[in-house]
Amino acid sequence: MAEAAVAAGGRGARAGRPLLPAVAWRNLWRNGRRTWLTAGGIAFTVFLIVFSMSFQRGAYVQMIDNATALLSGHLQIQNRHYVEDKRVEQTVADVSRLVNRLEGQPGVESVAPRVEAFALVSAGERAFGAQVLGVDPERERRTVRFFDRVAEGRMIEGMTDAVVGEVLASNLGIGVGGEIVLLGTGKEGGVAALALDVVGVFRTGIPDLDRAMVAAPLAMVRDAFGLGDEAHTLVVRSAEVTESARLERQLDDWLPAPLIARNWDEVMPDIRQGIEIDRIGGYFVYGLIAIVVIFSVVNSFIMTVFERTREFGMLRAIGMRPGRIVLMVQIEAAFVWVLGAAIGLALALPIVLWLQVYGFYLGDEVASMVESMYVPARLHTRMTPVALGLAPAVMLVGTQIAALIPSLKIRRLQPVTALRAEE
Amino acid sequence: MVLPLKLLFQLSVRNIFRHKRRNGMLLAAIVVAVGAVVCTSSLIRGFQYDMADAAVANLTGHVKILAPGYLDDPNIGKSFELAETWRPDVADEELAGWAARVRVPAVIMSERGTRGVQFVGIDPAQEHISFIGSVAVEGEHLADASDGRILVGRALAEQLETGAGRRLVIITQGHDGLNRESGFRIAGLYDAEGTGLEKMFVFTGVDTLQKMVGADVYTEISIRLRRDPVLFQLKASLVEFFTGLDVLNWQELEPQAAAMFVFADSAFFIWYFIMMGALVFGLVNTLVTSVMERVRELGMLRALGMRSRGVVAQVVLESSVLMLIGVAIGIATGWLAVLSMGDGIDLTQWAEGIEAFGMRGKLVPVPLADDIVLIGLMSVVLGVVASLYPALRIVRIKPLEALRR
Amino acid sequence: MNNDAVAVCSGVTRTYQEDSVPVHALRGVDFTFSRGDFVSLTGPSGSGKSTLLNILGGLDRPDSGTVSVDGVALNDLNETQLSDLRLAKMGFVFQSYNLIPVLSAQENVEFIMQLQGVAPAERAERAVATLAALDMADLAHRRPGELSGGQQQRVAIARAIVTDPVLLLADEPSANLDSATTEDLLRLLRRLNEERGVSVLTATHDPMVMKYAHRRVNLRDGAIVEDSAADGV
Repeated sequence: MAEAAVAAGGRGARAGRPLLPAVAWRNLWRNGRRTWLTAGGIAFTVFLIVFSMSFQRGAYVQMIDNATALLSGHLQIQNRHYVEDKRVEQTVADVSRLVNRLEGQPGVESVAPRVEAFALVSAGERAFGAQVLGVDPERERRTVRFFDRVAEGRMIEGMTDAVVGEVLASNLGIGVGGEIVLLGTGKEGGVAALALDVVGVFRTGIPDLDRAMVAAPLAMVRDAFGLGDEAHTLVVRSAEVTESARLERQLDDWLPAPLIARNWDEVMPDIRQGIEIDRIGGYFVYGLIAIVVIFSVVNSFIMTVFERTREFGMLRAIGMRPGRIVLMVQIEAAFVWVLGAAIGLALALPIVLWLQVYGFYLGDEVASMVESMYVPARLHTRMTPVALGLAPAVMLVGTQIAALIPSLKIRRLQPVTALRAEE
Repeated sequence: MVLPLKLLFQLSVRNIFRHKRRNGMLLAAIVVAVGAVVCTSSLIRGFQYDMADAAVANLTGHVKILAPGYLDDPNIGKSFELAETWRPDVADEELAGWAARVRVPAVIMSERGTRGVQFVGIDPAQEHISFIGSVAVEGEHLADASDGRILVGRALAEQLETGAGRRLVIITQGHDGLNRESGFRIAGLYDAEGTGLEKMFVFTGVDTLQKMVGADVYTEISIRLRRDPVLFQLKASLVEFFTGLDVLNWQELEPQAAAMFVFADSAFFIWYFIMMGALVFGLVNTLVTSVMERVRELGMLRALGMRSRGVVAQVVLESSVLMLIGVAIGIATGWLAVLSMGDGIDLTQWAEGIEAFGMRGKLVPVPLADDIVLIGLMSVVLGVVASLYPALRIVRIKPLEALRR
Repeated sequence: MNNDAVAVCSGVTRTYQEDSVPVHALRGVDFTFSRGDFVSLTGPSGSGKSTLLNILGGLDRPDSGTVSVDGVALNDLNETQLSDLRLAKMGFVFQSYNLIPVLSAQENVEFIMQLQGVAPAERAERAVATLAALDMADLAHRRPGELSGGQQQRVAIARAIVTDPVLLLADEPSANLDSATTEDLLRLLRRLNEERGVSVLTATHDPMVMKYAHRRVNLRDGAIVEDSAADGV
């Protein structure tokens, strides 16, 4: 067997191919079953990790996308004091000019100014506390998708129009066509009052919004709360959500004090934390799977090296340096890895790409579970270089080390003893 | 021929020790896989129970009695009267406790801000069944059902820039439909580990709130049990007693948590099978080698007159013994990992993120004996199944061919 | 037929496919083996002697012809029944000893009795006695790896005869032994044959083995070309 493999290597060399890889390749097929099983373990790991990482990445991107697109935008510009202490007088001043200048900034797609205040919302005898948003419908439409969530009625158009959350509407006992009165505290401390007609009811699936939010025209809310050309938040949409962190730094440098830009992950720490903990949990699980499989690969090479003790003795006897034998085993390991990683990727890629385009329906139960984390019911995987490359890279390092551990004893091998060893 | 099991067992053990490095490495893989599953499954269980517990403790209880329509439109109009003498019809050893409450939406105002909250009238003596009975309080807890002060969450107090001893104004709808406004002194600030509960609930004595809304009524009774199984029986008797009211169990009240509870069960199995899937390649690989290098030896046994099933039994036994050793060490390792986590992994760094999954600040592993036994059994079964392939291969080789090798 | 016949085969043919070329190992062999015989099957490589030995031992099946051992027709038996027949009636000594490496000499000898379901006390007693009879008492607790080739072959013989088989089959028993050890081995087989009446059938190239046999059966190209009494030493 050994002689055959070496001879084959010789022929390979004459044919102009490097000798060692050719021998290593043929050696793999002396025990094809073992090679396939070892490669199978690597393939299993690569497939599983590539698939679930793409799944995770897809979920994250969609979570961030949904969460930012729904209402809070990619970035928010606020008065530094407003961030610390949400008081109605901590505003961004001179909004019209700032919005125009912001839209000239590279990377900024659109800007929507908002006034935010808390008010007692009442309809007839019923009253609930709610967040009031003063919005510019035109600008909002370009910046977020919130108004797509108006499930009933229509979006704000006229000056006395309002849209309310589904749960709030039902708690107030009103629907489209109802009338509400907002009562709050204005900038100067006086009473802010506003009577509005409900023209739409929205449903976002986010309990806080559906239960306690009202949106009304910017001008009306400003007026009621005693604000001039001011806003509490400028919601910014960047070209891509992945660009928002860079844009945040750029805007931070540009904005005059006391204004600051806040990226979505500061605005919604729950999303960032949810992603972080899921990512950590994922790496923990992947690490364990990889360790179990790498142990199996070590085992496979322990067996291979053990069975070939005689053969290695013979190779030493005919003058092959131990380092070259170790190298040959390393090349064998690399080939096993190539097989495993190729199979794993070949299985994962079509599925991942298909799901990237068509998505995967999570089922009603799971969907309802994750809705409040902005995870959509139909999840699309997302192939990223890291999702694609991490598992193969880890397994490559693991496989080479796995093959190195048992082959180190080859260096100490005495040709004569080895030749006497049992087959 | 009788299967000489003792001998086969002895042969298996000795064969395992024949290749210490190889079988040691396989054992290490089994130990990591089993240990990881034991450790992770107890974390999954920990998550599952913590979540269910949080759902139940979060004023829900195992069963809740509500006026019809309260869930869709929670206001004081959807309330009911309750006789002083009423007690849930459950044996004392099954009942952890019960609480009758008034819970109404309200607006709370300080000189610095205004927020919408759930205003809850409680009898503090009954609330050992919910989170509010066990939270840390800065200042004082409510003294009794007629306490006229309020208990406010720390996060809400921060938003309203107020503190213990200060006053707040609360507006809510009275039983007659008219709004009532009343001032309250803050008895204390409660700390619900940074969860959203702190912003959602403001508590006062139940008598005080009944007086404020102007009616001697309740909006909910929450009952907590010691164990889940009596839940359905209890629910049936309550449905009968409270004719005309809604009797709901926690799965109906917290469908998201109930769905997550079920999902955690499947997560356990998915995780187990993935881990064992990773293991099976190495297991079969090692078994095949260990069997194939003994083709002659096993062929000789058959030439001597051992039946095929004796050979199969030996290979299967060898794999099972290996698996048993691995499972035993793996469980011990997993157990140690669980112990090393002590009273849980601190997740407060991600408090807001995990709250969306119904978890609190700490993940406490809950190792269940049933799970561990199941993991052990399934792993040994896997060992048997994995060894059938090499075992059946070897008996397909005729003894004569085997001897020639 | 002779009532003393232990093994009878008639018209036995056996053809192997080797690399799709048919190899006619046996071309119609008639052979009778009597109780107490010491027969050596001889012939060059490929003459069919090992095939004949294997067929008589129930390890291989003829393509045609009949084989019976101790009055049992082997043709009618399935694999399991063949296993049981080998266990009950045959003793095998192989060219390369084929001991179980993880068991000691005594355990190797006891092993086959365990398969037969012999009680532990009797098992130990018979194993010790048999090893002692073969001058192996001192080495009973060593494992095969700690024994020399000759010693291993003695353990193999002890294992083969401890069950009092009807027939002791030895395929090239001396192939891996030096001549002194071979001599010892053959004297041992001869002694067992004479003192215990064990019927011995060997297949061998080795002229020394032939010398010890009572009867020499010479095969060539799958057929018996000579069947003669030998004096034995």
